Amino acid sequence: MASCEKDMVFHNDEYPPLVIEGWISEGESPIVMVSHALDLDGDSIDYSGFIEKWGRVSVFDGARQYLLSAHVDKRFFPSLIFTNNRIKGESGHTYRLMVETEHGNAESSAMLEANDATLELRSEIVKKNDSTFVIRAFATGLEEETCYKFYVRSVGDDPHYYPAFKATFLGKDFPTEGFLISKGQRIQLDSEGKDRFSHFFFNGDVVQVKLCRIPSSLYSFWRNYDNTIALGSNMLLTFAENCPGNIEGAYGYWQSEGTVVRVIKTSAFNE
Amino acid sequence: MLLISVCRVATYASLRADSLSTDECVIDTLSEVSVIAVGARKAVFRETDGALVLDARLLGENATIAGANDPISFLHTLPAVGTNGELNASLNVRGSNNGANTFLINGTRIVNPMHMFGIYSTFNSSFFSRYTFYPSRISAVRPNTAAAMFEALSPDSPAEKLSGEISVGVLESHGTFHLPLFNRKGLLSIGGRITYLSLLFPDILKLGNSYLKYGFGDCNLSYTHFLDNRSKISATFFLSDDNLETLVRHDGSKDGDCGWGNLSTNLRWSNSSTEIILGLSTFHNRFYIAEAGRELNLPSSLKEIYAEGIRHLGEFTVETDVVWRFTSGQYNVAVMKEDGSRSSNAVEWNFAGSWKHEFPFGLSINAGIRNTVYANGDYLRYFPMPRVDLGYRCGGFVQINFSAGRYMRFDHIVEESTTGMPVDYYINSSERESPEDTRTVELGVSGTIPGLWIEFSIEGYYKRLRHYGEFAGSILDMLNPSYNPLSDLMDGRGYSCGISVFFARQFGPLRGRIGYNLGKSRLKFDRYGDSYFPSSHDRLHDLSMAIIWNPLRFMTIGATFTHATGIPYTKVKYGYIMAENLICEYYPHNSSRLPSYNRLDASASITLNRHRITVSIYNILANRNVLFRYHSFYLSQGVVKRESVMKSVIPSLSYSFLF
Repeated sequence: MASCEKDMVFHNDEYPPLVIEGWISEGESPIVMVSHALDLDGDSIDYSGFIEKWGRVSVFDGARQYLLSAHVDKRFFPSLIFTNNRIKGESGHTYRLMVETEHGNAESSAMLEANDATLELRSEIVKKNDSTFVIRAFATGLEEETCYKFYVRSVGDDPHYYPAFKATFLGKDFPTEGFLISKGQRIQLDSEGKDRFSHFFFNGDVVQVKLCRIPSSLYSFWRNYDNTIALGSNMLLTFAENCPGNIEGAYGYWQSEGTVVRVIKTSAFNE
Repeated sequence: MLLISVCRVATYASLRADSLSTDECVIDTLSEVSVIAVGARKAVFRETDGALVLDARLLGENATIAGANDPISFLHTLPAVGTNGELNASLNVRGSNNGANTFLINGTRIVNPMHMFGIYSTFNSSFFSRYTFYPSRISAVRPNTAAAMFEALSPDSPAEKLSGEISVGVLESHGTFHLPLFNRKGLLSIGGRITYLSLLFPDILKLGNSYLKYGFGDCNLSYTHFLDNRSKISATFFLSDDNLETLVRHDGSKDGDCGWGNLSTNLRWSNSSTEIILGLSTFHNRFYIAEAGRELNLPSSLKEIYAEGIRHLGEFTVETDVVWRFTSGQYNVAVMKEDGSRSSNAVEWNFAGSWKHEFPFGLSINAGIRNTVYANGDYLRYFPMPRVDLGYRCGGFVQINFSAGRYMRFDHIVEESTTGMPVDYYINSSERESPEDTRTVELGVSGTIPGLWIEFSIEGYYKRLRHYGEFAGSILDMLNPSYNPLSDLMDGRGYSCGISVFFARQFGPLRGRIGYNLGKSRLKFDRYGDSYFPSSHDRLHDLSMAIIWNPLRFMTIGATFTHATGIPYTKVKYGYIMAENLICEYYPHNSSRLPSYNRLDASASITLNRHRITVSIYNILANRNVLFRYHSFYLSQGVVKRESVMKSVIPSLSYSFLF
């Protein structure tokens, strides 16, 4: 059992499984990245099949099929993305993703639901470190059993949105005193190691905060993802659970996003 | 053992007592005899009921980390107790988890008997005179436990004069005084201990990018008043506190402050047939960590008040006790107020009886039943726990034992960490978290090999485990105010079985022990499917060998070698990039093994008059023991496999003044 929720069995001669990361936001074109998992069990790691270059990626809006074409976009990692600017996300529509490759197919559906929340932001100085900031978000109009997720982007520093730190929640769990938003940890693409990474924002940063309404089926995925990033290399408080995605035939996720976006410039005078 | 033969001895002659055979001896009148013999120095002594008694004075002869004569470290060299890796403060006895054990000081519970990282326990061996360890075969009249029972006992007989010890070491220092009072009708014992590792070596403890500052202190106090030859009244007090701070070098994005403390106290009156105890035990945790501006502040506590009465009536013993226990549950007070919804009050009423009888033909029996009526809110249950222990003594040197019994405990530890960190907390059993329930069968033979004076025991055991809890969540979910960690506490079942073999020669200048356990422990949780998997502390082979040598009367040299099968872990099969992070897909839970664990420790001490100097070296061969495996991703290197390894050689020096 690869996970408790999907019956994927490991075989030694199996081609590494497909990995799909894809989303379609309200008013935006879908973006899909297709790769293969790396087999980490051997003495050496074979990266040759990491990027899936020859897959056929389609998004169905109802019965209408949109073929996504491959582009190199170095804002992303991996940098080969599939997209199609003839289709934009609309609330109320169900989008079916289909990926076909020589080594297997994968499929998933997600309905894009409108996000009627309101969002206000405030920057705050981090305790014990007054040169750095976090953002406190206040939201109303959240539906109790609906899943939401915060993404952040520092304009000028970040090429696109990234998941905020431990920022997936159900509407009923949104704290009344506001949600503290900071950057989620990620690979540093321009330097070695993690030492340069900071969770915090700096004075004068212009930060875009996106509150997404996402399928509830991805709540466990993102919850385990957040725990893995934070604790996967922690010997004292380990976490070794799979991330149960919503794609049949692949790891990863296909996510529809009803979005609300706000912008804030961090400053001590915002408090 | 002192060997004496009754024989013809020339006046004023001296002969080695062990050099004479019975064939040479006739009964005669002894006018003056000098008997010179090397007595046994039994650091561990097995009683007929299966209890192992540890002599606190002799534990220091065994090589352990920092030269500490720690009883829990000593227990890890016995076959019933699983080997622990470094940083792991737990005691796993024949497949059971740490929370299943019961620890006592003079009859009163110590909730968490370990200081952090497992180097020291809370038992200061300069204060206590002996320890009693029951890996199994626990009488019905003893407190509830689902695994083992360990009790530390302070001196309880009149003393002639002031005695004690003051010891100064690299990692810790301690002092103990035993003071007779009121014309030897009273005995006051006071002990204290403190560490200062971070003071002397501020940068020595690192974990990844974090520096750790750690220290602990504990103190013991007991007073016994001897009312007459048969009765006495005593008071015991124990207090301990551990404190750990974590600091990150760069940008201050993570810092933490955690620790825990025990308090235990009792009043006890006893005579030759009756004992009454009133006791109080408390334990509190504190765990604070700030990550990315978000805070986890997870205090928790347990409080227990109990009253117990025991009465010996010839071959029968009856016992009753009432325990009230409060557990706070766990909240993240940084995001929510404590509203009492996670705390609970429970009451245990226990009544038990046991019967011990020796039959004329070498057969003995110790049979009993312990009954518990347990209440926690609307949850009210009665649990009978029958036990029987049959022994057959044959040939004078060998005893065969068979025992079977049911053992239960009514509070659980929720282990959110892997190494006994102060984020683990206790809960009362309830409808949802049923009491931990163990049924055990054992068959063994023990005795002494004549002529060689080697003690041995060989025991086979089989245990069924029910309501064995394991936490499958993450403490980071406590950032969510509505998250209750009990929603990720799995209720499991399983079994453990094996053979424990023990040999010891505790006589003469060269002494030693070999303990070996061949065993397995398996668990099953619905979350992981319908198959059994190894428990987190499962080790197929677990071997410990200790040698102690007195080349000179004032010198002791010791060495301890440990070899154990590596513990299970959940290995990564695949890695993939998701949202620009490396995410892993795992093999089934606990389906892989770390490399085997090996370690050699050595120590040497010189005792001259009242002064003793002890040098110890932990992991003298610098064995590379893997504690943890994980993966990281770097753009230039790709995926990198990493290991946390313990390979350090840790020397230690201490000076003790004995009086």
